[in-house]
Amino acid sequence: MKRFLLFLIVVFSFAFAEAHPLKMTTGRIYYDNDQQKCFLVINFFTDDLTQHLTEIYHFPITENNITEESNRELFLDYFKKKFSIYDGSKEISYTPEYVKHADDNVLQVKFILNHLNIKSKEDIKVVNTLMFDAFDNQSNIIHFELKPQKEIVLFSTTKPFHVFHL
Amino acid sequence: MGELSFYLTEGVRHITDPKGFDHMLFVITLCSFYQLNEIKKILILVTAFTIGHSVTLALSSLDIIRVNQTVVELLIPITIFVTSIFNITAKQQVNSKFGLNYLLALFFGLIHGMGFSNFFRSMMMGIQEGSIALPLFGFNMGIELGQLAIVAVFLVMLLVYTKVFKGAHRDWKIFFSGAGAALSISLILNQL
Repeated sequence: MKRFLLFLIVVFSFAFAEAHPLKMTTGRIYYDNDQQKCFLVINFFTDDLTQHLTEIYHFPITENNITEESNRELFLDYFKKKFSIYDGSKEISYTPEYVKHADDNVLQVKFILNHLNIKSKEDIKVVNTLMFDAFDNQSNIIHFELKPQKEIVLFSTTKPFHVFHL
Repeated sequence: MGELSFYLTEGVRHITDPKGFDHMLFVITLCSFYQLNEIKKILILVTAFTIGHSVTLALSSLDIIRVNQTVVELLIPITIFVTSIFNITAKQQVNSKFGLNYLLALFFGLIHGMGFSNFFRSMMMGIQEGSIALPLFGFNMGIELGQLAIVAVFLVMLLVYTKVFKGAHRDWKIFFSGAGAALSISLILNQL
């Protein structure tokens, strides 16, 4: 009886704890030899993203409607506020190529990085704070592949930017 | 950072992050059944769990099998709950029960591997050019190292509890199984 009571007390004590699934985006910055352009690809967990956009824009953005044009624009607006890339001191603009569902609960967005000079001798700085305003344990991975540079970097709330030395 | 070391670090981070405690909780609940003089059994159980999750992590990451993420995320806390109930209902020092526990660890490892693979595949989707074998190997190695670290810390705690505080193993088992049961119920309710 005593053991059973102990078990119940322990169960009750831990019953209100909540697990927080790991929050992450993954991305890639690379140069495509065939198209002779630089690209940026980012994957989001669709459920986290749609929930966050709904909270920000006070409009129900769901897995089903996020790729519709008006919602897509809201998403891209959010993206541009949270992700920047600099060639030296010059900010690089980027143009969306697509927003699509890449897999179960994975939304993928691809951009062309305009005028990013891969022969530049300047350092390239990336500021990636995507979803940091949504989750305090958010982190973002970027695979940086501009030859000869190949590096994988983790962005976090304590280190939201990284400088790639070409 | 190199690719192998990056994903090895991510594997360690994935299993030891206290905010995403489900896998860690399973390992702890699994080990809590055994006493300090049963380290060999603990190691065999952890090995069974490792074999199980390595198999499904590889198969699912390489797209040989497809799993429904929602179902897997519900099954993971169920495995923790079942293990907790097993711990408090099974009798200590019964060899046949150890065989059942071993099979459960292996089977539950298969389920947890699918959970790891969801995370890993989403990391790789359209990101990795060419084979994902190297990052997959690194990620799995990281999970193993993280798991070993968890078991090592747990055994040190058990040592202190048993030798310094002279605590009864039954209370130890009840505490960790109770915590495992409660947290798993919370996780199950969140998934529903």
